[in-house]
Amino acid sequence: MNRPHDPPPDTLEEIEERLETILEAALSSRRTVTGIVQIWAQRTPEQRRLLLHWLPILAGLNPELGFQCARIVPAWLDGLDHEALTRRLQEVMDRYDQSGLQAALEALRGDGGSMRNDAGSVRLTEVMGVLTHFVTALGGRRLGIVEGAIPLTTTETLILPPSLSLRGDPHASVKLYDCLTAHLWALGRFGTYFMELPERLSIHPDPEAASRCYLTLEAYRVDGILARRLPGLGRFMAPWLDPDRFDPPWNTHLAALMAEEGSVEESLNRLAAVYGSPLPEPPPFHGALDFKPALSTLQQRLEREKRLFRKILGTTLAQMKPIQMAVDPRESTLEAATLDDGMTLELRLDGQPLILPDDLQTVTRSIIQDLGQLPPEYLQAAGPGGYLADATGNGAAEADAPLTSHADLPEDGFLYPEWDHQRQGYRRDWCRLRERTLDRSDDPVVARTLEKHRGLWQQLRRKLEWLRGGDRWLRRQEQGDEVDMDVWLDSWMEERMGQESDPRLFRQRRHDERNIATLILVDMSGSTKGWVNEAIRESLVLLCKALEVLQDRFAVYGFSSMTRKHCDCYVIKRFEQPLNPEVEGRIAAIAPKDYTRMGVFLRHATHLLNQQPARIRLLITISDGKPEDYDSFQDGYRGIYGLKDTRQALIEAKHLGIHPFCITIDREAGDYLPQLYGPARYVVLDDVRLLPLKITDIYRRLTS
Amino acid sequence: MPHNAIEVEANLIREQPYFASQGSEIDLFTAAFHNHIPVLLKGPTGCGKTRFVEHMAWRLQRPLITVSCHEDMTTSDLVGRFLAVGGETIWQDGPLTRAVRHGCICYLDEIVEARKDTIVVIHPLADNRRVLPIDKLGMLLKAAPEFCLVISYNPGYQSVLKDLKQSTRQRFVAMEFDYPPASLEAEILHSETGIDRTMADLLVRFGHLTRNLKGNGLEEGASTRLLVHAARLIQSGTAPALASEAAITRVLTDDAEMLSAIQALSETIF
Ligand SMILES: Nc1ncnc2c1ncn2[C@@H]1O[C@H](COP(=O)(O)OP(=O)(O)OP(=O)(O)O)[C@@H](O)[C@H]1O
Ligand SMILES: [Mg+2]
Repeated sequence: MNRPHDPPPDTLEEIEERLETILEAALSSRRTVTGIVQIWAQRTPEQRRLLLHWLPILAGLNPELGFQCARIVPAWLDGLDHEALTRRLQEVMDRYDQSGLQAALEALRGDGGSMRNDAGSVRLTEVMGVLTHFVTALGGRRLGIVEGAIPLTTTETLILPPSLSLRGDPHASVKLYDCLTAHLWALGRFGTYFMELPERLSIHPDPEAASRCYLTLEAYRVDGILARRLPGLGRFMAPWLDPDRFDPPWNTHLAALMAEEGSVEESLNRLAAVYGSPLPEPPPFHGALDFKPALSTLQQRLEREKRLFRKILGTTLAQMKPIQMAVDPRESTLEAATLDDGMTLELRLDGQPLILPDDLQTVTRSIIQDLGQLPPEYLQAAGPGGYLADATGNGAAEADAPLTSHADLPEDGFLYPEWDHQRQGYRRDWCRLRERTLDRSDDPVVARTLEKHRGLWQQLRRKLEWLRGGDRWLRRQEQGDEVDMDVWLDSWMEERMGQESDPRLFRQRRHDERNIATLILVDMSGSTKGWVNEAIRESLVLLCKALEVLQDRFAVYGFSSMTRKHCDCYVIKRFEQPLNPEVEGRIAAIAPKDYTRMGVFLRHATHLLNQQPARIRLLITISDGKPEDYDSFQDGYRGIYGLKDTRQALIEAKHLGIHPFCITIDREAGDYLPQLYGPARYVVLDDVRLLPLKITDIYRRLTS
Repeated sequence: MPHNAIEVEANLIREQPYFASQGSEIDLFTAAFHNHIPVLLKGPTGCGKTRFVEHMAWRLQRPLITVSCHEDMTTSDLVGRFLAVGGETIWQDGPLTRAVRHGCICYLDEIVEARKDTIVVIHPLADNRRVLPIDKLGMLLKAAPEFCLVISYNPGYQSVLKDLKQSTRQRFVAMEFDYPPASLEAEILHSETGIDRTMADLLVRFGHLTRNLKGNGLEEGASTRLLVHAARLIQSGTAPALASEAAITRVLTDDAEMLSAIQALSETIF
């Protein structure tokens, strides 16, 4: 691999030799590097050094891509500075990851708007955090934002371009990001994507062309809605929405669509009239004219949320029954009333209004956003088991949900990006993670651990009292930090009046409990075999018991990977589950499996923690060393690559207000640790029995 | 105790406090009052709980005594204490005792902030005994017929430890408050500040956007109270964007990223 301090090749022979080595796989007897050498020779040594940094990366992705880059990219150096070049190449690589070689070559050849150095451009990474909040506020549900060449929404994830520039003005460019985000969100929110769409489009001779017309109409329809609801945004969009910009027949139809609060039917009605006319030039805040990713996401979400809805509903009714009313959940009726913006939902149980728990509110709202109403069958209990019967029964099936049509999207599980430090960019949707259940084991590890560490546990229990962060004064103490003047005065009075006085004259400073959610991520890679695994299970037992005493909400997940396509996250305890024998049986079942692809699991944990409405969110990882996975792309997930991706995932977590804390069990504490865990707090233990005690430190530090 | 009685008179509310009702809360409260059942008000900050109690006190023509509970509050702070005056000791009623004696509405705001051993003094008052034990005087004070106990708490902030105990909560009639529906909230802004309906609608819309961030980086969205504040500033000539930034955005958070996000939301509206 080329390193910055390697001398750039100077002579034609040197250049030729380097290029031949890098591009070997793309060369043949009739295809040589001769032409390329000529091109390279025109460049300064500095520029050649830059080219030599990128070429092996590109060629490593695909030899043909490398060969074409070697030909084409040198010419870019006239128009692009270092940073712009990086961005441009990232776009090419993104295209390769998403759509393959042909698309990447197109991106390489196209001159693209980003060829110039835009003074006022803004990068997505700079505004990512703000946009995440922004879009949550718009819709009330969190959407993912990832980087990609062409803006698009899957309705759960917004794909936004790596950088944007408007009028060379950074402020305007930021607004353009806001506007693009709002627009993509609105497409999902106001009904553009619905399950019967392909069928509705199929009546036209060319459904593909019809879909582009439809999506164009829809884009302007939702812009109209946005402009009315968000007048400030409307002012920003106005110059692009002026009907005079459009040729007939688009002008009248778009003007009408934007003016009235029409539904998606309105666009479908107008489709025939514009079908066949060339599409108008889109504003910079419109996305790709493609509905497939949205539909396949929609399908998955509907299935998932129906199960979730019924599960929470079942639990809610089951809990209500004994205290508040003696009704059979099967006989209760339930109505969802959509008020205002669908903000308030009402549940009636035998005619009596009840307040929906927050999680049920959220999922119901989401379903109503997708379907426009809550279908009655969602409310019907399934047989004698009530709502819970089918909900829980499908828990395992969730991981094996039916595959959907769109080839680019996952059949199941979660897709996460991965950080490629060489590219200084993410590989989109690179890892597939599945949540799996762990079969219980009969190994009585809980009883054994509590017995074995009885002394430690008692000590720990006492210590936990002190973990309740936040100071308060305990009054009427027999001893304490200072005299409590009020009490002292009272008791002085009482004594003077001949009454018996209270001897507890002091007040003492105390810590108070806080609202904490903790997720513990446990390494189940093969290297934990033996004493490490035993130690991990023991400390997990103590830690869980400790968290239970503290009454903090917590979850435990185990992880193991076998290439980026098989990242398995084992559910040991979800946040909402109590620490019961079943969970204990799963702790006992924690066993060494395959590899340690840290980044993807940290991202999943971050995703899960994010849904917890806690004041403090803690992400604790317990692992035994370097991140590593078994796969063959480039150098694979090991060495610097794995370290940097893990580090990046920790930065992402921190970005979202999560406190990561990494615990490494490693007898020869590696010098790579500061580099790995730099952004997080971490501790290295050679005696894992110290773990439960260390945890107390984490809490104390985080809550003081 | 003429002195005390005059003081209590001062707590009578003479002018009707404006309260926009969302449902049957007025009837429910009235029924509880006449049946001697204490009332528990639940709901997020700034959604009109205090205003409601003021309104009810006016409606029922009872003096209102409000106590904001806090961690350092002792039983004596509620019940009363001896004071040393010129070598003499005299007893002074605490606010709760005053309300019990003179048949006032006693509103204990944010009850869970008080410690558990303080909260228990209300137990005998809150069941059908309706008595207040005053240990220091060695007596049980029987509540006047018009005495009414109202407590409030905000379930949202409560961590497990600060939850209201079942033995306390099961003595009360519970009323759940929330931010009013959009049109009513706009009406409240209009009535409270005179702001025009269009601007009131925009403020409410902004409020809703911030409420969507609750639990997603914000502890609480903009309350009706904050919207009222912004409306007041706008009414006195402040530009809407600036008013919402000062009265809402900056109040809600200190987090730089969240500030930018709420600012961006404000720019989509004003
Ligand atoms: N239903 C309502 N009718 C009239 N005004 C209201 C109503 N709801 C809220 N307000 C306005 O909001 C302001 C704040 O309400 P209030 O002080 O009653 O809140 P609160 O629920 O007691 O909050 P906290 O829990 O913080 O004490 C009031 O001063 C009033 O201007
Ligand atoms: Mg109040």
